[in-house]
Amino acid sequence: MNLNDWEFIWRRQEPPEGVDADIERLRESFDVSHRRLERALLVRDVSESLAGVFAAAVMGAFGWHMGRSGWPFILVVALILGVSAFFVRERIRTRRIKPDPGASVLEKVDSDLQLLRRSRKLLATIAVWYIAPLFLSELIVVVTIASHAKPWDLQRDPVFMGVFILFLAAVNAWAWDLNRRALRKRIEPRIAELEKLRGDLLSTSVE
Amino acid sequence: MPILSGAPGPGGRVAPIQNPLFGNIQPAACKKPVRKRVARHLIQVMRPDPGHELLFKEWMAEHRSILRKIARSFARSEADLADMEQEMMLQLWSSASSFSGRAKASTWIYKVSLNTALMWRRSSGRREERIEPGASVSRVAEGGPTPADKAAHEELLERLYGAIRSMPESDRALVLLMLDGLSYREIGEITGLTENHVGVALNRARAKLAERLKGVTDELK
Repeated sequence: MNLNDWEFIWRRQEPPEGVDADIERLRESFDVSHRRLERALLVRDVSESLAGVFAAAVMGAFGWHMGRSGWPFILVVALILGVSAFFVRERIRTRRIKPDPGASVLEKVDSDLQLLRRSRKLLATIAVWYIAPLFLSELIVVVTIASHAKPWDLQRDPVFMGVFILFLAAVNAWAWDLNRRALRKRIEPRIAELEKLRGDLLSTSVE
Repeated sequence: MPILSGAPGPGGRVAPIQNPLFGNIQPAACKKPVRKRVARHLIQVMRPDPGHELLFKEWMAEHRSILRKIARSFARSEADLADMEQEMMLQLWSSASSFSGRAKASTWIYKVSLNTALMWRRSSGRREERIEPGASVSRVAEGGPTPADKAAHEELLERLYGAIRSMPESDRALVLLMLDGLSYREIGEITGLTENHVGVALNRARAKLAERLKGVTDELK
C-alpha cells in the first residue's frame, strides 16, 4: 500500500451523525462555562482594582485621623494605588493580546507565547512591583503606629515589633515563593512546549 | 450561505460587509473606537447574538467531519476525543459571531478546531482528571451495526490515525490538511505559513507519514 491508497482510505471516512441533538447541551455549556467565566473575570478585575482603592481609602482615613503626624500614610496610599494601577494596566494589556478567534495556528501560538512571556516577566519581577511596595507600605504603617504609641503600649516593645515585622516578611516571602513556583511549574513548561511547536512549524529541515 | 463581500464601492469607499445573520459588519480599516468595542464585548458577554446559532448549525451540517478528524488525530483516549470535540464545538459556537465571511467557512473551522486541539493537549492532563470514565463515549461510538467491510475499513483507518498520532503535532496538523485535499494556499492560510514553507514542511511530513505507514503495511502483509 502506498500513500495514495491511504489517502483513499482517509477520504472514504463516513461523516459523523448530525449535531442537532447537542445544540441544547452546547448552549447550556456555553452559558455555564464561557459566559460565566467571562463574567467571573470581569468581576475579578473590578474587585482587584477596587480592593486597592478600598485599602488606600482606609489607610488614607487612618492617616487623616492621626493628623499631621500621619503624613507617612500618604506614602502608603501612593504605594497601594501604584500597585493597583499596575494591576489594572496589566489586565488591559492582557485583554488586548487576546487573538482573533479565526487566527491562524501560528498567530495563535504567537499570541499565547506573548501572553505567557508577559506572565513570566511579571512573575519574575513580582518582588519589585508587588511584594516590595506592599511590604514597604506595611513597614511604614507599623513604624508610624509604633512611633505614636504610648511608652507602655505593646507597639513599643522591640521584641514584639521585631517578631511582627518578621511575620510580615515571612508572609511576603511565602507569596513570592508561591509565584516563583507557579512560574517554574506552569508557565515555563508551557512556554517550552509552545516554542517547540512554533519551531517545528517553522522548521525547514527535512531531517 | 452567500459569500459576503467588502469590495470598494463608488468613489473607492469600502462598503460595509453585508452579513445576513449579523447585519452590517465594518471592514477592518474602519475599526470602532475602543469604548464601543468594549461595550460590544460586554454586550456579547452578557447576551450573545442569537443569530450565530443558525450559522453554527450550517457549519455542523456541512463540516462536522472536520472536527471528528482533528479530534481523532489529537485525542489520547475515547473520553478525551468526546471532550475535545465538544470543546471544538464550543469554540466554534462562541466564535461564530466573529465570523465575517471573508474566509471560507471550512478554513475558519479548520483554524478554530486545530487551535483548540493544539492547545487542548497542553492542558489535557488537567482535563482528563475531571472526565468521568466512559462519559460521552457512547455518543461518539454511535453508528449502528457495522458490516465486515466497514469494520476492515475502520481498522485500516484506525491504523492511519495511529500513524498520524505518532507524529509531532505540527506535522500532524499539516498531514491532516493534506489528506483532506486542501491546497498549499489554504494550508498556508490556516497555519500562517507561506506557501513555499508549506511545501517544504509537507514534504517532510509526508515522508514521516509514509515511513510510519510502511511499518503498518508490512505488518498487514
